[in-house]
Amino acid sequence: MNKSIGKRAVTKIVLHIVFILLSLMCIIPLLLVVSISVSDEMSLMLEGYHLIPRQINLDSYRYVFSGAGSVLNAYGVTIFVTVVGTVLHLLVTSMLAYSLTREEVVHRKAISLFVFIPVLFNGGLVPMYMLMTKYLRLKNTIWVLVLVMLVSATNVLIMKNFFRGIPHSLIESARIDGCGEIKTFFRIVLPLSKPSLASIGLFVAIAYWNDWMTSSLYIETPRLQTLQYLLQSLMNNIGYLQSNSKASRSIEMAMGSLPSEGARMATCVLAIGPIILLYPLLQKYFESGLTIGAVKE
Amino acid sequence: MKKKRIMAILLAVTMFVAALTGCGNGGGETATDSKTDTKTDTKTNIETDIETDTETDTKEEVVELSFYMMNGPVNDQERIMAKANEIIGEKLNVKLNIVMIDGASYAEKMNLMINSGDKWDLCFTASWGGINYFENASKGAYADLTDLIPIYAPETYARIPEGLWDGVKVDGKIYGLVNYQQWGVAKRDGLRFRSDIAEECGFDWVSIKEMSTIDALKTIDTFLGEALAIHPDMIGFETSSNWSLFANEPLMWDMESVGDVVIPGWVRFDDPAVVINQFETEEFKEYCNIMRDWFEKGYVRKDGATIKDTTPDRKAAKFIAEHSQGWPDSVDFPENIENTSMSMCTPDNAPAVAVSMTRTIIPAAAGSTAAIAINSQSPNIERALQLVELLNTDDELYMLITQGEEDTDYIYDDEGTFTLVNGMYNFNWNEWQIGQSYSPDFTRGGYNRNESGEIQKQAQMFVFEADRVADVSPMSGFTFDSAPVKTQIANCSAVITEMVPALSSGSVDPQKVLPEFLQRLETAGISDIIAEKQAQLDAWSNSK
Repeated sequence: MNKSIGKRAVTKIVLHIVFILLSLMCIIPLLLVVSISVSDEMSLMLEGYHLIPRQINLDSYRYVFSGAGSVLNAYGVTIFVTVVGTVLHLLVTSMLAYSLTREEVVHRKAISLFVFIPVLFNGGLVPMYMLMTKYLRLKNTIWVLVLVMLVSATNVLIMKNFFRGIPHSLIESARIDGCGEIKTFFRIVLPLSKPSLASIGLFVAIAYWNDWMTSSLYIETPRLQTLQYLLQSLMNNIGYLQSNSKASRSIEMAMGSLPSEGARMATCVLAIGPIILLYPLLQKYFESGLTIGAVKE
Repeated sequence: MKKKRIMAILLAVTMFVAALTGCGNGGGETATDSKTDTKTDTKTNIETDIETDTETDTKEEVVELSFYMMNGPVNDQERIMAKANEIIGEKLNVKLNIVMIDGASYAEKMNLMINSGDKWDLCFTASWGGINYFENASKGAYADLTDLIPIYAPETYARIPEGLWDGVKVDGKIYGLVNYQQWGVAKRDGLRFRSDIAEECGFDWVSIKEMSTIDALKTIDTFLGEALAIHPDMIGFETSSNWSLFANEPLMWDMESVGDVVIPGWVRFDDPAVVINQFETEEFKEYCNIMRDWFEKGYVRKDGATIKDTTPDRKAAKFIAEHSQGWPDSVDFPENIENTSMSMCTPDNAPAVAVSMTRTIIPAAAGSTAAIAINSQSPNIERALQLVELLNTDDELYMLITQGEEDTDYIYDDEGTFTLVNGMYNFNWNEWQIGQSYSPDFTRGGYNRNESGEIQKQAQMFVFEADRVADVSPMSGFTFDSAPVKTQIANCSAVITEMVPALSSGSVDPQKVLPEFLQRLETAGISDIIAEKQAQLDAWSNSK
């Protein structure tokens, strides 16, 4: 008796320690990033990175915010694109997936093939660019930021599998009760697939949030730049100014030393900030999405 | 039923709107364009109303030209461009739209635009960074300007030493307009030392001048030893995994690279017709031996072979000696500010002196380091060329675009020092992309209005004179087509990236490793590369 209780306690302690270490390994670098972003540049050069900043100095943030191309504007654009993009993506993906699971749809197999082949054989960058700029004329508009990632065949596949798990009898009974296709979809099927929608929604939202490539290729006006692209170009700018001796001398005259390390970390904090703050709110959906496997009959 | 109807209509509308956004926003964009157009139009109209001397009865259509360049985010761009377009509109009836692309994605974006046939008029081009000046020129992406330059851009041509134009010629035709910079192009490499430490140890740095690099390295050996005895926390010489004093600086060894500097196959200035394997030379062997010696004596970092970023060391003023490109050097022109401090430091924490040791040369790649190209598909090639001429001759316009407006964006403080106002318009020191920053009377840059400004002008005068008489690199105008030996180059690059940092930083014993390195290069096909370079070089020299 005593032996088994002892064993259980030991296993418990070991597991606790393992998970505590794992969490520390994830949290400490993050804290380090925040700490570096508020440290004074000179102290970083001379003393290196420390968890508790030796000298607090908000110059890095000042530099990032004062730098051209309003960061706030970029935040606005990115938030708009993320929200609208995620909603539209979920709508289109779920509608596509749902239709592909209904046997009444003619040529279902052919359409499925049409949807999934591009996952393997992609046209590439040049055709995409030509399509967007020449034929759709979406260059320099905000919709190109949304359109590029609007549908993902892998997500369609995931949703398709999920919808297959919804009992056919449910849909039939809705039909009997007088629901048309759209009502069945929006009233019955979608509420049941909340967990799946939430998981995919989270991934898509993060993909939209982190996307800088679309902005760099298609957007030429500063008003429409996304956050990640702006931060990245600020960082590249700093790197360039540092290598150009005349430039760095002039900047150093204007504002002390060029806050490169600090600014790098500051941009990191600014980039992940909103996501980290939002995540606890969405966590409950994410959890249930993981645990619900199949709908119980 | 009603709800179903509403839903259906809503969805249909959403899809309809989504389909329309293409046209809708295209229209939106032209709406904002015409807005700024009317702004500048009303401005010029008001001006002409007030002045009533330049009345244009027949108003031609204002042509819009786009100019793509690499730049970071720029504050207040609209204000400056509005002013600039007043000037440009008045003189050429052209509206300039500068599109700033982030430096890291510039090459990809330009190449994408060229390959997909997108619309653009002018762009910054170069032969480095993947921007592929030579490839695009030979493909016909850039307009052939040889015959148009004498008509539309004579000044642009005349201000630059003739040799530079060879650097942008492909098959004898000019495809780019060279941006000659205020710091000249002639190159003279050397070494830079901490002047305070040199004084402490009684080191006569003037004697290094005109020495060959091997002799120079041997001479400073004792100096470094003494210096490090006094300052043990400093580092004698800079070594890193991505820069080697031998492999990346052929000029220091009186050699010139044929094509890209890291591909094997250099020529000696004394014998430019013969391509040699630079790693087989006596100089490389001696260099490796010296670096090994220094490594063992502790003059260089122990992790020199692997470290990538030496910026922290530079900023912390840890180097006693380093490679220098500053010229004129401290022997010829001691007041040259470029040379008074170690790199990334100030004269206060790391005062320095520089000595040039090599010959003065206009590098082969000088012409194509910074140039402007015009799209061969552009409907306004002549106008674009006229615009470039305007940018290069109208100093007020150039200063406006590259520095902003005086007293708003930059000021001359009480001491006459040129300072940019923080938070206002800034061009991020990219004036070299948009035109020639050189002018014979020094009116195209932010020179200080005081003694240091005068000194800077004198230094540059020195450089310009030298540019006119410097040797033009024997490789000017020659482009190496690497396609026939692509695999060998890839293999050799792998070997070089692996072994050269180790040899250059002295971390391995050259007696053992150097023969091994040469052997591996042989197996990787280095003789094919050299033969190919020799063949192409011979063909090019014969056709000249």
